[in-house]
Amino acid sequence: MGCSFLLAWVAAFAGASLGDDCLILKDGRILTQLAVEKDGADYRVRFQNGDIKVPAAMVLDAVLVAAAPVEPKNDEERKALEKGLVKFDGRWMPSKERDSLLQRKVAEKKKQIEQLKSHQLWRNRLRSTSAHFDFEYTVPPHVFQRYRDLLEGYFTEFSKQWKLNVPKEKLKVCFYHDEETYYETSGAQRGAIAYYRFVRPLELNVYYDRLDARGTETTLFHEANHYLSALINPGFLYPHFPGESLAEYYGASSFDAATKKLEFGLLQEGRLAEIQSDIASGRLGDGDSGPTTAGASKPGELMGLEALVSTDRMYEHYTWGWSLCHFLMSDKRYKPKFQAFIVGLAFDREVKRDVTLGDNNRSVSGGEVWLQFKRSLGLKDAKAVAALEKEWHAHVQKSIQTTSARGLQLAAESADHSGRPIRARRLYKEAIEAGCRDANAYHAYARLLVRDDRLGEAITIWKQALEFDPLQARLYWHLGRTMAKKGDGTEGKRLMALAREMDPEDPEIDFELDLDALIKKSTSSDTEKTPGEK
Amino acid sequence: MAPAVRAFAHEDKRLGFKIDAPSGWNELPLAPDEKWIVGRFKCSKLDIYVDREWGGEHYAEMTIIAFPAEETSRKGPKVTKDGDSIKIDLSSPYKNYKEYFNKTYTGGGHFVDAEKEAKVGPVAATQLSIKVEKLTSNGPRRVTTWVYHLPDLDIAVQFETLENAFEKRENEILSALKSFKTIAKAAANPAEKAPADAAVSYEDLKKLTPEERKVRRQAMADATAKQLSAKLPNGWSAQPMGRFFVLSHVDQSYAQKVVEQGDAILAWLDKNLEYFGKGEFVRRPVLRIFKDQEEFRSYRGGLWWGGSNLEIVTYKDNDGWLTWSTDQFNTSVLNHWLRERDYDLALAFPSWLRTGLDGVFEKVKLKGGQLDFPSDPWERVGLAENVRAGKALKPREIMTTPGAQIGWANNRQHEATALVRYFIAGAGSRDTKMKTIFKNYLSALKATVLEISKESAGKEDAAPKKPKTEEEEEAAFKARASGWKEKEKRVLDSTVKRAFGSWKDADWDYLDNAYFSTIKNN
Repeated sequence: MGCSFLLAWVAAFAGASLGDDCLILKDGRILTQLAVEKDGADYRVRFQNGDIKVPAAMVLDAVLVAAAPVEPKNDEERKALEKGLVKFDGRWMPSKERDSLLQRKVAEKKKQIEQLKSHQLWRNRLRSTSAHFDFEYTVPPHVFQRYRDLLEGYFTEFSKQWKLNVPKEKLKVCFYHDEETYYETSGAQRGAIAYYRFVRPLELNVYYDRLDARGTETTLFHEANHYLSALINPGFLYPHFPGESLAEYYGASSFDAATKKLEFGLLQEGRLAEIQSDIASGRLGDGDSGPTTAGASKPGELMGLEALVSTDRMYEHYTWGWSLCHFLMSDKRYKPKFQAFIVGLAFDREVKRDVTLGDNNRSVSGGEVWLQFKRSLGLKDAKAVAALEKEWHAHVQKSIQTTSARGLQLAAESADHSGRPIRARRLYKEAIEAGCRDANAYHAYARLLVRDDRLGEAITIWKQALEFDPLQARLYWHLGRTMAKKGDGTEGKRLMALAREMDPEDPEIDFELDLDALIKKSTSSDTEKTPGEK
Repeated sequence: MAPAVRAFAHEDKRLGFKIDAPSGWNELPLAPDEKWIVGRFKCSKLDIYVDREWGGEHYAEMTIIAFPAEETSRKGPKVTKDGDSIKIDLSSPYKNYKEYFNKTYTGGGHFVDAEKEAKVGPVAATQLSIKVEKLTSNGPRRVTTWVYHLPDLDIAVQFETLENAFEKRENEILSALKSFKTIAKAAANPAEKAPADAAVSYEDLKKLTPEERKVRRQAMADATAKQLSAKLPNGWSAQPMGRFFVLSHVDQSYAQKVVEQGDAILAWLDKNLEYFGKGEFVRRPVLRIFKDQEEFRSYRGGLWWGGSNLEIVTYKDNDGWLTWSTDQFNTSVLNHWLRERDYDLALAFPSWLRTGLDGVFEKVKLKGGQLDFPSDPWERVGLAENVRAGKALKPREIMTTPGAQIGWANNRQHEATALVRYFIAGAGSRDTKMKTIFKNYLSALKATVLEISKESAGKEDAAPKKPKTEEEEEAAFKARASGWKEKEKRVLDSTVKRAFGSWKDADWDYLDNAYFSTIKNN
């Protein structure tokens, strides 16, 4: 144990200042003002309302101010202890010397923590340059390294596939340690979880989501794809289709940090869930995709090929458009033709590039995209179009299925958000059975179980969630609340108080407390305070 | 030697402070529903930003924001009882200036560049420098804010400039910030408080007789005019003119021109749509006229409706009369009249009708004392395009087109405008066979909406059936997804059937020919 660097993400663990210890977690959190003891290989964090065991596998580094007592393992060690010596850093020494060394180490580490904490402010951001990118970031260095390597690997592989020329300037990538800092500093509108600025100065802005590292990856792959695609023919920018659809296709890539290898063309399971939702709701058609849709699908039908490819802008380019790219790139017959279509839009003389975007970049209209698509794919008549459309629809409905734990989780989220709790519960259950270890998924599932009045099952699920993330306050809150409802008031209240102690600023707990206060005030009945209520 | 122009002293006796705005800066009016900002000023000199690709203009602004401790320390919703009713204020107060800025600022991505604690006389203050660099509108900016910490409140005084103009404005900004002083507090001006009747709900008004409603609404209008007049900055006037209560920052002749246009629209509607909400009283609106577009933009971020539902806003356009600002003014007056006469029916207008009415009234103008209804060149071009392409819809098709299909890209909004003009002010309004169509349509719409509303009221009382299986849930999901579309379709189809139930093909052919003849001759 022991690390050459410290992480910069400081959690709002500013509750009861029980101690002076710090824990630095691999997911980027730094927890300070704790009282921590070693518990075998693991750690035990002491709060006023209970202890929490933190597995060693979660911890990158620990700063324990109090020296742990040493149990002698043999006679030699027993003799040394009897002489008043203590073991520290592999050496036996007088306890005063140990205390002095420990104090110095702790002071150094704390200074490092303070410095890294200060780097979370954008004015103190860190800067770094790699082969093809200039980075400015507030994420912890060890988090940053992974994504730097990911982007470099992505650049190299994509360049090979699409024969890019190396640009003269490097792209600036701004990488924020959390969502709030991203929205404040980048100026992005709420809902735009990342963006690529395609006019000078070129820039990519994205944030690290500690609770969804995979999501951060897919977002980075997507946004960086806009930059990389622009390098196919500098001065030409891809229109919404195929631009966004291709970005989604590459968004599903995966990166192996150990081998630095990338795999393209995986499933965008979140988008697949949206497509399945579209089919289930029958929402397509009747101009629902907007008045700009040419030849929109009829109600209840699947997305039309011409409508998708020829429309200038539609949301479905992210969902159905992704599935079209996936279909064409997965099929040996179509992959070279689709790639020719992409390259042809940028280079072929027959293509009218009469749309002008910022920085004098040229682009094409939806109608022109459709013409080029038909040319490249060899679709000479309506019959050929219909045949390809049919194959694509079959691919969407039969060939691609959500089977991974993450895919099932995303499908469950989609069902939950669209008001289908029965379906969501089933999918969450399947995600867990498929090996999901994301505490968020367990939390969402448990909340759905509570809505269905299955409190006992919900309690079990929350307890499982805490095994993956024992330091997430809201899990204790909801677990405690549900236990109290089920009759275990004492333990339930303790857990709710623990949650508030762990994170006095958690907005979800704030909201629950607000609701409680609201109900109490309006009924003027219950005078007992909810744990954590001020 | 001319005397130096003194800085404008902004005094707030309610909160107990005063501060000088830089000299030559103009005071801006505050929106009546503003809760946090207590003063605003704008520099009269323009700053310019030029980039290799684009440029921007900006007038430096000073904003004073108050954070009373009783608000910032509040956590959770505010629940109060008012007789039998419970009022719940779910709006979350801002804890401090930084939170307020992060949540309300829309000028671009920003970060605190420098922060230090200081004293201004005896008052402790936090001095912030905030840089706005990414996705800026009109160029990088600098926000300089000093937050003064008084015993029971914080006062933030914020200056926003273009970054490249900060150096030249720095002295006057610092001079203003250093002039902050506390003063003795006094009681609030009761005239500035929102009138008690402002809280009267529309549902409560519906329970009154038309005569009772008129009396009540007249009182509301008078109280609103009084409230909005009480907080006017220097240079503004307040007076009744025509059918408006005018708050003006322009010359009298321009204000008169606007009022004459507005009066003409109201008079036309009274006469030609007298059947719409017949007998209902139309309250006198407050008309706020800004001196230019820049001042207008500073008020509620450039929204085309005021802070009160009786306020209509417009500005003196440097490009002249009958420009985009007049378009918006015209439709504001139209929609005010429609809502006053029959609020429920006005809200129930299908998209084609709302779009069509707005499109017609945007372009109306006074000509020889009468209201003229010209068509717009874009409208003529759009209609011609559709006719040439064989895509132009017939009247019955226009009247049954769902809202999602009425858009700019397919010229359907021009078709809706042309049809409405035909009915209410064009050849259709003079044709004995067609002139009652619009009245019949509105009547039919009202009956359809009432019918659907009665059915829904019955269903709302019954507890919704909770799906037990995934299949039932999917079916309910599908029904929900398509429910609003089906409801819209029912309103459109039922209204047309009611209004034109007795029509035969020959009647439709007559209308089609008359309508297309109008648009071809346009």
